[in-house]
Amino acid sequence: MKSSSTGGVGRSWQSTATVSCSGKRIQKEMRELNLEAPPHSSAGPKGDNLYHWVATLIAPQGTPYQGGIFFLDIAFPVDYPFRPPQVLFKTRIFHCNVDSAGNVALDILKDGWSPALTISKLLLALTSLLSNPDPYKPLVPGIAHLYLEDKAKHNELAAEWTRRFAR
Amino acid sequence: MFRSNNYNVTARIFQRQIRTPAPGTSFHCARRFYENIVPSCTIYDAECPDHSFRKFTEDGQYLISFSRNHQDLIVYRPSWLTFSCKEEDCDGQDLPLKARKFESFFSQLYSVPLASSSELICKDFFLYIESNQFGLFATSTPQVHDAPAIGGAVHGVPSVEKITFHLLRLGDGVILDERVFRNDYVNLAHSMGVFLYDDLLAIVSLRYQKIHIIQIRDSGTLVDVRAIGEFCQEDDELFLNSSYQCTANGDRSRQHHVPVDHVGQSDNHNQPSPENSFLSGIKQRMLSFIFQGIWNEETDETLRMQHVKKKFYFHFQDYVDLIMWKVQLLDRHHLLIKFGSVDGGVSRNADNHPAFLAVYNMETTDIVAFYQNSVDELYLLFEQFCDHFHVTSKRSLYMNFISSHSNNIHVREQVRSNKNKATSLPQFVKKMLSSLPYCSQSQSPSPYFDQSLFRYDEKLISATERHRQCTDHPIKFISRQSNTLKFKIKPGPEVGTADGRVKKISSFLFHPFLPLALSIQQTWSLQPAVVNIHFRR
Amino acid sequence: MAGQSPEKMEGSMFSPRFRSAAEMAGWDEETLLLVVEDTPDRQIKHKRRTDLQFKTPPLSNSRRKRRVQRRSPASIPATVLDLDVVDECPQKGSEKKKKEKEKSPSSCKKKEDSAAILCMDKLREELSCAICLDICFEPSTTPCGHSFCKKCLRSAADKCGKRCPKCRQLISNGRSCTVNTVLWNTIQLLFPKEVEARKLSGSVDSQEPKGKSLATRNRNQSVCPSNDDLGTELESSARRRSNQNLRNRGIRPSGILTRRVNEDARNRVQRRELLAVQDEDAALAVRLQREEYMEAFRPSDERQPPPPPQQRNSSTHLARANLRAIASRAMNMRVRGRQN
Repeated sequence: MKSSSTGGVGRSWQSTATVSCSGKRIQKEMRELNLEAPPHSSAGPKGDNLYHWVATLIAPQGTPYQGGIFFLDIAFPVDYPFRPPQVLFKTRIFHCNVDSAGNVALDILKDGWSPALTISKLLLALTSLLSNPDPYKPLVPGIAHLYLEDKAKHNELAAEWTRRFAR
Repeated sequence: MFRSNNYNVTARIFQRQIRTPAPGTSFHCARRFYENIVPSCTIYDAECPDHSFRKFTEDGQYLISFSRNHQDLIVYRPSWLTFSCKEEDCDGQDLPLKARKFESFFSQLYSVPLASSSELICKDFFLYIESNQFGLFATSTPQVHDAPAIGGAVHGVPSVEKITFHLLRLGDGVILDERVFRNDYVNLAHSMGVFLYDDLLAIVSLRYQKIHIIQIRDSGTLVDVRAIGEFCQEDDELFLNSSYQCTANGDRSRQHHVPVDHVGQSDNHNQPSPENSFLSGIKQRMLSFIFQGIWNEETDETLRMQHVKKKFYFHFQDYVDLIMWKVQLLDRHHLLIKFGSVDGGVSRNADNHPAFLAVYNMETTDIVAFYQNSVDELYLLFEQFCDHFHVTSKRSLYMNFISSHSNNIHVREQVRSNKNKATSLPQFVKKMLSSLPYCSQSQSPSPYFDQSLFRYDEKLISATERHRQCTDHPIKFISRQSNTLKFKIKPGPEVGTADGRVKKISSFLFHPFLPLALSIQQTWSLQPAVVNIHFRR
Repeated sequence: MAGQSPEKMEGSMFSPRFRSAAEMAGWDEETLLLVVEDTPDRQIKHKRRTDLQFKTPPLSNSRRKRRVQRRSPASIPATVLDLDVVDECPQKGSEKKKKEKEKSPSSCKKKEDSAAILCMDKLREELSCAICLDICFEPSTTPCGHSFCKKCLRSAADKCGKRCPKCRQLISNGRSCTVNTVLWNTIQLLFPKEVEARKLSGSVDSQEPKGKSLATRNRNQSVCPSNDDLGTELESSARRRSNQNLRNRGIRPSGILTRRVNEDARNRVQRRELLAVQDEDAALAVRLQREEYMEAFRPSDERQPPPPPQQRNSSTHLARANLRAIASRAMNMRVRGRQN
């Protein structure tokens, strides 16, 4: 952290130190992940850049996505943790909260973000999103409708997608 | 009197009459006759038309050549010099004048224009489908470098406006079918980008990173089987579109029922966006295979994350950036794909670039194995089962006799000694594995290249068809069994002229089973090539 | 005043006298709850002088105190402070200290260590700021009871809306970024190294003249001498040092002291020597003071170079420092009382 030995409490310090501040926090999270890996998921920085991570979700058994391995891109903003990271699915998935560009609709990634959330919690939330899609706030309304109307067919399609695109 | 190791041809014939060879070696015994029947006579600078001769077909029926302007195909049938001699000592006589003519040995069948005005025939490309006597040729427009990477193309790969593959029936020269690739790039040099196995063709489109599997029907049509790249299964794209349709329909009819909380624009998301950032099908399979391998390697949960991080995530982008360089079919279902970085894809010398070899099952769309090209495990497999990599069609028997270190002890000894001499084992492994994936029909089946019959200098001549620098020395073929010189291939009498400084490249075309060979010396200038005919008199 | 109040197991640790003294000092029951349960020096507790450890009662009403309960910096035997019996105390105190000194090298040391480390991990987790994932630096507590570094909380409020990052409850008053002194002191006691590192790496000077307690804290920090880790460092010498330091501070007339004036503080320590004699009513204070002076001279070399103001200290030291502050306040009141 850069020190500004002025009397200006906090303000100048904040702007010069955000990069290293977020960097430190990301490093801490990395270490934390080492020790307490959430089940079914893992994440790590892509190469040397600490702000670009890749995460892997192993779809839990019992969901229609089982057997699938989903890769996600996570981009941390410079003023992390005050802004949420951006998550993008790199693997196709038939899910009402993931659109055809890979964007995820998760409340904690938008308005519900809090600086107390960590990557580990984010991965948990994503895994639970796989197990429990939220059809009431869908990104793909068509899939949400299918989920509500004919869940069997939805699951069948999801499994087929997993078999074709996420194995 | 007639010992089995008698090297005389007469003795051998007698042996053949009275003895059956050991079981399974009848072919080998038959091939030993080649030690006696060698193309020892050379006609220098035969008068031949100014074509660039490509190769003999594997069944010896045709000699393929292209016109100098790279637009026509001329096919010859190899025959034999026939003449009669009325003198008493026929052997001592000089050959008649007509022996100097190319036409005495070859008769032209036809000449077909393949390329249109803007195109050129790719001289290096030729694949022969033996079962139906079809030939596959390629014509292309000039290369365009620095082509923009649009439409899913990979940056850094040049583009060719139009590549056409022509399927010809060689008997009469009728063009049966064509396959056109636009704004694409296929590595046509030495047929590197196309692999033929039986009736299946695997064409690698470097620019769009797709493997096109095409079947050649008996009727002569080219049929698309699948295109592996973005999608693995043939109907993946269809399925995706139908899914989108289905969900879009559902959406439109029920939009007023369920309150939709749009975080983005929902309308667009029902259509597959053209520039989506998803991993391509083959990449996804590859990454998930690598990930699972690394994940399962480390059983201790606490260390697992670190392990995965170090080995996988750190290199993730590198893995994603890999492109397919070359492909070969291992059998009707399995592909051997070589992955490498973009820079090494087009260049031939890719030693410094990391490369990976993956075995992919087309039917189950699974990656079965994934190795880096310096891995010992893969090298061991290659060393012991080389012939499984150098696959040939089952129907061609002679192709099984191409010497490799799996079927020939001499070659194996050579490889072993090279291995022991190698200063760095990983480098050696890399060098050996750089020949994978194999290029189909890249080796001549001529028995004179059989290492168990002859010993020759591999640097000067080898079964692999390649242009080499012309040497002044004759190339000697020494029989393995008797260690005597059987025949020589001399570059030509005019070697010592003032033009000696001019670099000449020479290429050798050996007939698959006749003791007939052509050696062609060319200079870079437009002088006509010098063709020498070597045959058995 | 019975010692066994039902809600606290530690009730027996409080001697009646202490409780009365505490009442005099104006503490309520709650503050007395700040007793650590699992200090290994429990054997000593059976003595008349009970071990206890508590923090300065905050002037603000933070519920943080309860949190602090749980932390157990394994052996921080508090010195006895029995303000009523000031005459006897010095001797008892010294006796006690000797006893404690004897005891500490005993077997409980090993237990201390392992238990200490375990507790330390839990404590670290508890006292970490959920925003920067570090130990809370100048923690500030939200109305809903969650604490974060003051800076982190402010940034979060600026950028993410005025909601508590942990529970999303509205933080009503945007400018209430007061530091939770008890928590802060606790943290400084427990993790002096981290705090020091954080300060070194450019923490901002906090210049909120908030009153005595803050000033006391500053003063205390500025004289924190040692850098040793908690848990293993509860040597009586450290304790003594802290006692002395605290004594010094306590005697100083209350005023605002900025952290920059470390040199002043040091000077004052030396001057205190001369002034010590003036406080004769606080007999204990005098005695402790003397001890402190000796301590002050010992590590004075280390303190010569300008700031870092602290970290030679163990948590005990800080605890002592706080204790001293309380004592000094009490004494000042007495002095004034007598003077009046």
